[in-house]
Amino acid sequence: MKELIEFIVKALVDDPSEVNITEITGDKITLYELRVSKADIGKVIGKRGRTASAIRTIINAVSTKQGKRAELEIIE
Amino acid sequence: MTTIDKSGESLEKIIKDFRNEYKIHDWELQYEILKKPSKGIFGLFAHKLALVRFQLPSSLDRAKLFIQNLLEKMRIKYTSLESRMEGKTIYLDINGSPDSGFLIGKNGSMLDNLQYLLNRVFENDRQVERIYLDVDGYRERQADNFLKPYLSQIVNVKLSDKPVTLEPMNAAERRIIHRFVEKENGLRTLTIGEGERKRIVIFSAKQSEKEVLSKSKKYSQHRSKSTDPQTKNKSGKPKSTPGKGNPKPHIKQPQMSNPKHQ
Repeated sequence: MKELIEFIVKALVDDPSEVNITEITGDKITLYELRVSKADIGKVIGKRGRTASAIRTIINAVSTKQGKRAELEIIE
Repeated sequence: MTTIDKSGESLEKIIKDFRNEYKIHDWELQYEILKKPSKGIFGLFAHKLALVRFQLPSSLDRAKLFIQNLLEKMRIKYTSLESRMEGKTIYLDINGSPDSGFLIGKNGSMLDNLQYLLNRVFENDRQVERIYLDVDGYRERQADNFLKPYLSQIVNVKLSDKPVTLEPMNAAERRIIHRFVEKENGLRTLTIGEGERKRIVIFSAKQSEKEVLSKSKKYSQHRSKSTDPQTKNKSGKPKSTPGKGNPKPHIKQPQMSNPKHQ
């Protein structure tokens, strides 16, 4: 899952080297904390959060399919 | 794919510079080393520069690579990825996936999300205007279903030469109608209204756009009361202008033809 998030975000941003994802495994949910360079935050969130919502939808669907639960948090 | 040769002191630097110059992602990088760098032995022989041949992916290659890698990371199998580019529009169709239902999602929501993301990734690529993503021809089938209720109205325009104004539609829906009617001989389309209230007018090619506009404008003005003053101004114009076929040149002419290009 981390690879998937990393792939999508790196494709979106201008500076892929600044993409950093921390995986926090809980009992039921795995939390992914995403950090990108300041200039790229807008790219990950998108107009009215549309991009962030698209990424979250894909991540939720894929993790549900694999019998897991994942949540993405974008750290500003 | 085109190839580009680059030389330099070290392989790492050549690759790094190439990736920066062409904004190449990890998954897009393809190269072969033509010459390894050598520093010479004890400085006796002149040192040689390294030479690397890179494969520069086209926009279409890049879009394909993105989807292939995305599907792989989503652990979704498929038999083929069809792709074509028409002008600045890219069409990608994922075929033969056992997870096609998953990829499409409820009412195509997953497909829309994937397509949205794909378009954001290629937003800055000037070779690409839009990318359409499809799974097993789902969008095509949806377009056919969407068109069905309008077919009789379209045929009517053909038979009677009377223009027809359809109800307001979003951009995707209008595109389906435009594309279908364009293929029909003797019929044309135009769009009236603003923002959420844009409507398609289907009319016979025998009529001029101006003629159709002057009739349907009254209608659209009626419907879009709360639009900005600029629109009101535009829609008000045909009313005050002389009737069809008047060859008299008019100073306001350029403004009159404005609504056509909306």
